[in-house]
Amino acid sequence: MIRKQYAGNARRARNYIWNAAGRYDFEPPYLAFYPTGAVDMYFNMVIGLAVKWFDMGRLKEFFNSYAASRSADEYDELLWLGIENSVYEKEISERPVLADLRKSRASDFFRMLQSMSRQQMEMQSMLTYEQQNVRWSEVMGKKVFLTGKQKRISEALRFPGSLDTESLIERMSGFLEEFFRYVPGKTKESRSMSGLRDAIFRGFGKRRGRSEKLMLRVGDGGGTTDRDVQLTHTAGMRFGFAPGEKDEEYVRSIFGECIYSENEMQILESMLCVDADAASRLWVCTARNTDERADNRNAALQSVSENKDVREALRKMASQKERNKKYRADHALMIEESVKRLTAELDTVFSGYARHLPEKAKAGRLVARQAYRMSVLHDPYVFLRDGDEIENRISVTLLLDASMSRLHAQELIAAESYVIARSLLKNDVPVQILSYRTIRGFTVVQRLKGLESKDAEGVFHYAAGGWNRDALAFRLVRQMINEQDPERRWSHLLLILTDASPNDSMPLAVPGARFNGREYEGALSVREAQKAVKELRADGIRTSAVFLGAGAHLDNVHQIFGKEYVRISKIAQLSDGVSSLIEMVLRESPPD
Amino acid sequence: MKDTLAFLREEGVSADLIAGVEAFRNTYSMKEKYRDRIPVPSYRYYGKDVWERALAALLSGRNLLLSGPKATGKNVLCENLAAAFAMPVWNVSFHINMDATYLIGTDTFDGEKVTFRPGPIYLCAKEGGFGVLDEINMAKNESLAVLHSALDFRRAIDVPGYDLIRVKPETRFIGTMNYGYAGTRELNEALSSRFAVLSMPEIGSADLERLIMNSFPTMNTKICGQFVKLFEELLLKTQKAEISDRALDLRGLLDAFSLIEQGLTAGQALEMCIVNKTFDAYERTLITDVVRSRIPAEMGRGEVFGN
Repeated sequence: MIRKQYAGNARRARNYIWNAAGRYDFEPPYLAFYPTGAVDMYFNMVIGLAVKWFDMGRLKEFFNSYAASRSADEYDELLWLGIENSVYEKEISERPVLADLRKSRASDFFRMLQSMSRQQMEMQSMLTYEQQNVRWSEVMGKKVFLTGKQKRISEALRFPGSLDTESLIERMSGFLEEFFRYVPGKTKESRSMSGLRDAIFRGFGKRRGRSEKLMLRVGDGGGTTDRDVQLTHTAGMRFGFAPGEKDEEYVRSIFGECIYSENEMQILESMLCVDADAASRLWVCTARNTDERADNRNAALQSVSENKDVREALRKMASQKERNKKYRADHALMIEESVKRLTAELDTVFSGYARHLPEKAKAGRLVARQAYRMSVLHDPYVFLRDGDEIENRISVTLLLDASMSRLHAQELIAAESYVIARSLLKNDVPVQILSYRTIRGFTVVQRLKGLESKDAEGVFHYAAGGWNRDALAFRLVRQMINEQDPERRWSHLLLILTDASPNDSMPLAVPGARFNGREYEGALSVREAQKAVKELRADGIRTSAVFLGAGAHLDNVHQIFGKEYVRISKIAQLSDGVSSLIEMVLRESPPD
Repeated sequence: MKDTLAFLREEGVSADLIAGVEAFRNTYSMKEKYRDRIPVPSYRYYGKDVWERALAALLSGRNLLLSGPKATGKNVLCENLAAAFAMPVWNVSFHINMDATYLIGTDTFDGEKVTFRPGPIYLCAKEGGFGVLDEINMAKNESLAVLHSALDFRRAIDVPGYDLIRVKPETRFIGTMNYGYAGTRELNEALSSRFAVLSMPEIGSADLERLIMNSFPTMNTKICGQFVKLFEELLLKTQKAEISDRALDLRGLLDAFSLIEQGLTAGQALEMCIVNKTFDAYERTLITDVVRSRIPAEMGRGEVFGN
């Protein structure tokens, strides 16, 4: 079902491209999506028109020539803006509706701009944003004030309709050379230079990389074909060093004390922080600890700005909690209705797997150890039979991805988790809720609700921020579950609410060459997560995902979790989605 | 609309064939009571080659089987042929439960006695005219066996308990079929060998444009061109199996123009007459995408019909 939806989204994009190209005999080199995962109609048409008017084979060669560059995504965005102008001019007489579609794309740009959060704005590549702003403002007939350089770039990007393939390529490489001093195939980016450049950008608070629209490469020049759904790394946010004491203090100030002792943590880290995660650290805390932190600044933090950061973070987390609760209150009816429906659905699902608690009886299975009571004490109740009381013997762990990519959906995620947790509790299934994120090299798992607690209010502590090093978090959770039930008396279900886009500022550790490690993102990080999920399953923890991300990441979720996931975009879908997911997981591997 | 023969002359159809049709018209006259059965085509069929083949087959006494995908104008050609030969038409829409009694006739009670109520094939054979066997491959082959003797050299139908009906010399049967359509079956050899089979090509853009402009003479020619391209895009998408052929509906496209004439926007009209022809929600999205990338949804009567 979900696969079909994904196929649908990508298929829809492909259909726009094929339709505009008037051919169906090629696999599009790019697909265009909005950050929400919706298909970007206009830009997909532009891609199709580029296929129609230019030799795409030659263009692909050109795009691949810089695909290894760390700014490849930025170049893509800018050059496609140029190509957009050219194919528009070529096609407009043949397809007059293009003028309307272009305007509508422009107004989409401004509409999305208004709904972007500050954090999202910060993630925006300034240069791409400026140039998109110029282009779409012109289309809308708005005036924009530009600096000399901005103006030169925007003029350079107005590729005319008269270009043929060769002159287009000439124009594009000229553009890269003039404004980026980048000659595809010749320029080598030195790490130290980029580091310096990164530092400068960081200093001015500029972020490069992510941009408002995701122009997704389907395969890249580097030879990997599965890079298509990743968010690019922001060069200015690279975190190449192993976390130090300062970072630990920072994490402690925000999340509170680790619930494990130092020794325990050392053992955990020596077990889990190996291979690709060798430089990472772990932190396990509870939501209550965080609450206490809100009033209590950590004096150990020396730097004033860090102190300010911590205060700001704590304030935001507290206000997010209020927002989560307000959302619940505002949508009380819908949430209660969903709880009711999911409870009923789960009741049906679990009843098939429920176990009756044994009770003493005069007949049934003889308990050998008690048999003496019959002759000695004349106690006939030495048998066991299935009693009326039912025990599910299933415990559920809800693991919430709390990385920054979830910023726009925090209230929704909290509410959905609340619905799932309440429904499980009503079915007498113990449930714990954990959230995970990675910040400053620490993968933090926060327990929002414990197994023993009967209310699910803790989930409203959920707040997003930081990165997500999924594989490491999954392994840590595996340890936690194993520790909770070392004898395996329960069946454990792990439901991960995720956007399936693992992404960390700290690269994958490569022994002996840490600083040249590959970025923790895209296909590599997905493969890591996939391995971690396999390990969870090998341990008997039935792992599945509730996918709440952009359609563009559906491929990842499929790779990581196989078919055991469900895609949810609103609370109303929860009851059907989650119950059938749990049913599927139980059916595939019923409790012992 | 001008006389069909005049239209054929304009199309450049062979003068010999047209003369043959005229001779046919003069030779065979039909009863006055069946005059209403001679169709007045709403649309012309464009395509000289198809016209010539069809006329030749019918003039030589053959029955004709028009085979082709949706929107190739099979029924339009049937109507046009009957109009050209000035012959009354008996239409039989085939379906899975079709049987011999429906085609030939059945006993009925007229208040006093049991009588034979003739079916369309019986009437067509007896009175003379064109029997249009629409979607002939929808019916089971067994129920079509009754037609064999009418269609081959015997040209007779033996109605059990009644007479042997001789098929009149001016009678022709024209079957239509869309091979591979949902619900269709393989036509057996015994039946297909009794027809001259004409494989219907898809309508070309120039012909489609003429068809639209003839039906809606006030339409803006540029806009008409966009609609033609839209149809081509849908056709290509169907051929590439990205969508089913439900939305590839020429009648629907022409209906949409009528709705636009009535004041609906192009978006609304195309939604009703093209997009909603398919009931799969996802497929509708794909079709809407094609429509949106060619025709502005808000375009109204003024733009479509104003030059």
